[in-house]
Amino acid sequence: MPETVQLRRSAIEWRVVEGEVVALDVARSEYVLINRSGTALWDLLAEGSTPEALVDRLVDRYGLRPEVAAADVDAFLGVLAARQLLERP
Amino acid sequence: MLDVVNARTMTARALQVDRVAVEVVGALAADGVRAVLLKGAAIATWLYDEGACRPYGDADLLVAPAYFGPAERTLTGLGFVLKQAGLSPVEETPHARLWVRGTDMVDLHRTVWGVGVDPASAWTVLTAETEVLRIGGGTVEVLGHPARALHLALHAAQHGGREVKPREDLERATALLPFDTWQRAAVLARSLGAVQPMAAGLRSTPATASLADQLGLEAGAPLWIRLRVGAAFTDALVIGKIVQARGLKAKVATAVRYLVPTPGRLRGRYHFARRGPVALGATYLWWPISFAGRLPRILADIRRATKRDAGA
Repeated sequence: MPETVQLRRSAIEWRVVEGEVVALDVARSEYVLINRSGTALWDLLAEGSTPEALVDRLVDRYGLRPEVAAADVDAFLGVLAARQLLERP
Repeated sequence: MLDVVNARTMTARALQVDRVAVEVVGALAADGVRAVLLKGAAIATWLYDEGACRPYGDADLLVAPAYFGPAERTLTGLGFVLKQAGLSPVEETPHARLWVRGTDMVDLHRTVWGVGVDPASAWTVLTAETEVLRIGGGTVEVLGHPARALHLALHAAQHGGREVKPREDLERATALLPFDTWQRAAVLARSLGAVQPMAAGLRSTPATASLADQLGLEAGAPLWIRLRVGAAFTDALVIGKIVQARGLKAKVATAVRYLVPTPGRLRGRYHFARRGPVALGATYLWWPISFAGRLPRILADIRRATKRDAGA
C-alpha cells in the first residue's frame, strides 16, 4: 500500500499569496518560499497524499517525464522531511 | 514583480506576527491572563480570500483591565520592552501600550478606541461572544462577528483618512457581512457608548455611509471624532484629547503636558533627542519653534473639523 505523507500542521503555517505558498517553519521561525511546482503539490500534501499522486500531479500539470517528476517529488519531500515538516497520518 | 515580492514579504511578516501572537497568548494564559486577538489574522482570515495579501505588522491583544499589569509583566518576562517609556498618563494612548522585542510588536489593549464605557465593562461586553482561530501553530481567541464588525467601524473612525487599510477592511466587511451582523454590532455599540464613533467610521467613506443610515445611527459627531475622521495632523488630535478630558483641571493638564512634553515623549518623536542630555536639551529648545511652524496646519485641521460634520 502506497505510503501517505502529509504536512505536519503543528510545524508549519502558510498562506497562498499571488499563487505561491509562503510558509513559516514554526519551530525554526524561518520563512520557506515554496517554488511553483512545490505550490502545485501543496494542497495534496496538506490533505495527505502518496508520492505517486504527487508525481502524477506534476506530470499532468507541467507535462514532465515521469522520472523527472519523481526526482523532483523525492527532492521536495526530502527537504520537507529534513525540516520535520511531514508526518505519516 | 515588486508587487509580488512585497506581497510575499508582507505575508511572511504576517505569519511571524501570528506566531508571536500565539506565543504571547500562551504565556499570558499560563500566567492566568485571558487575551483576545484584535485585528490582524482575525480580519485577514475572515474577510480576505486565500491568495489575497492583507498585511499586518503587530499583534493587538485585548486583556481585562484588572489583568493589564500582570499582562505587562508577562511581556517583560518574554523579553518585550515598552516602545515609549517615560510618558506621562496624559501623553500615553489611553486604550493601549505598544511593546517590542526586536522586530516583534505587541499592542496590549486595556480597551478599544471609541468605547465610551469603562474598560472593565467594555471587556465584559466585547468578550461575551468569542471564537477560536487557528494561527501560528496554535490557537487564539478572537471577538465574535458583531464585535469584530463594530471594531472595524471604530478603527476606520480612529485612523480616518490617514490610512487606507482600515477603510478597505470596513468596505469589505460592509459588502460581505449580513445586515443582521451589523444590527448586532449597533446593539453592541449602544452598550459600549460607541454609537457616534461607529457612525463616524461608517460614514467616513461613501461605500459604507448608507449602512449607518440603515442602522439608524445618529448623524453628527463631536469634535474629537471629526478630527480623527478628517485625517487631522497628529498635533491637532491633541485638541481632541483636550476636548475629551473631563473637567477644567484635566483639560489644562493635557494642554500643559502637550506644550511641555516629557523627555520620553520627545525621545519617541525625535531620534536626535535620544543622543544624550545635551541633545535632549536642544530638542526642548526646538520644540516651541517646531510647534509654531506646525501651528497653521493644526489650526487648518481644527477649522476643517469644526466645519465638517462627520455624520452629515
